[in-house]
Amino acid sequence: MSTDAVASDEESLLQFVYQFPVAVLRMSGAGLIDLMNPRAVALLMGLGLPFRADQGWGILEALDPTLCELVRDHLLAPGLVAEQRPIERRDPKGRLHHLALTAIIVNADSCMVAIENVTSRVLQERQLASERQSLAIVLEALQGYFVLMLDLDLCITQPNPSIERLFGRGATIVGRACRELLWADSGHPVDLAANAELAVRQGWASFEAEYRCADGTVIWGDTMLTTIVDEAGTPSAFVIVARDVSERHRREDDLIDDALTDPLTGLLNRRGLAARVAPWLDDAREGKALTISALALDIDFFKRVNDRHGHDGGDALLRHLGQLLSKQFRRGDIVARLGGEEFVVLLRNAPDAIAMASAERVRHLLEHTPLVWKDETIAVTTSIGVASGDCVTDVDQLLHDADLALYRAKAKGRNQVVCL
Amino acid sequence: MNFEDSASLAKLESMSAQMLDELAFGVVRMCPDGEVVDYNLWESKMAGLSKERVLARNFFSEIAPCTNNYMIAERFLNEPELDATLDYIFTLRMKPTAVKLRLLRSAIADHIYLLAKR
Repeated sequence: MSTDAVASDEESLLQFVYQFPVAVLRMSGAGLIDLMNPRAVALLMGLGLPFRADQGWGILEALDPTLCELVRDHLLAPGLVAEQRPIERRDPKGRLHHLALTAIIVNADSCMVAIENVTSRVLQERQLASERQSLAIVLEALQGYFVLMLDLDLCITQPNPSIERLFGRGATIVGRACRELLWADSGHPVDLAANAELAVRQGWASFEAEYRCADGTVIWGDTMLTTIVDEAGTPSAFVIVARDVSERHRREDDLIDDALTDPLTGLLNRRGLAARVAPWLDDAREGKALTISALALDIDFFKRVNDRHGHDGGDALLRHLGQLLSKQFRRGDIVARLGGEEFVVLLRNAPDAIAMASAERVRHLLEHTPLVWKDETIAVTTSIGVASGDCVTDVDQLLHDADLALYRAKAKGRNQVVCL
Repeated sequence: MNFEDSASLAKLESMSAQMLDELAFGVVRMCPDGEVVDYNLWESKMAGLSKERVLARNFFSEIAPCTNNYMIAERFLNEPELDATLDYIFTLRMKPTAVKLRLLRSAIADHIYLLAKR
């Protein structure tokens, strides 16, 4: 190697050390600094600390008295004395700096010290830690909300208190498909994948879904599915934030019930009957062959009951008949009180004979089951008209026919069943 | 001329690179943004860097990061008329060396100057 080449290498090395981004110095056992890089001067000066060549021990003492003592004590025991030892120092303007000190004793007369200013890293880490902490507090304190972190396959990636409360503990939740948390038997099924696609396109998707909790209860979640994108803007994860709106759904269900129910007997009212029978009529319109039978019931001489026992007695009797009818018919049948003492039962796919037999059973039962009310016995009978139709698309016509039959039953002397 | 010369700036502006090399103290001639225009022999020997390595580079950020602070680089930046002398430590070839620095800048000159002597 030529002298020139050596000189050039040396120069290059010098430049390298001039620009070395960590402060480094070497000092003797007497505290004399023989080598230090520009970064060291800049750092010490910036902190208002001594930086002269003869101030080695003074520098170390000012930076970190404990480390200074350690180095003094270990001068005869070469080796690493401290590695990335964190210390804090304020500069003359009062700003706090975080430093990391590394000290190596090479031999009794040579000690290397590296000083890194890690302020921005420490602040960043603190900021992150504090954000993580506040997020944890928020997730812990969330009442009525839950948060799900999902990967792109819509599997849960992180546990948090808000979901663990509802869906189970810790590891059991992680890795499970979010789909599994949805209630499989929901009357309002949600296509998660389709919503995820939408969320990728527009950044978010919102829907209401029924979630099934670990204890078997089902809650309604007003759900916001948000796409998390990486630095390149590519979707990298999803977050679900859902608000528990079960109470609202319950209230709505109750309101719907209220609107469709006769408050006195708990049976359907006229509107409730229309709502329940609508799917039957739709089926008929679609050509699905089915028979609908209508039983129109009317309590015989109801006015007399009112006259004798007052309206309270009349109401008690109506409730009595309501309970009796509820017990006699299946869940799929429609039992309604249309007003006054006027009741209707609609049966689906019941042959005439069965409809007639049901009507006769009710008539017989009421006749032999008097109401005991306030130490009095109220015994009444009922007249029932029955009408049936195949492919019924107009329920009013069927009810009209049943009324006609009821009228005939009354005309024939009451307490009997007449089929049109 | 000498380090403390009162009319330094005007004299320095008129001096060629060769003339700067003959001076017994360090001279760094820079554009106002810190780009090195001349780097005299004294300075080159002390720092251990040849002229070629330094010319057209930014002195404060690329050559001597230890001057990139409020005491030197920021004064050049903030003070249009500057003639200040201060004690400083240069780490010439990594040896902490006490130096006296003179910072020169004026509207009458196209260049700014950093002078150094031991």
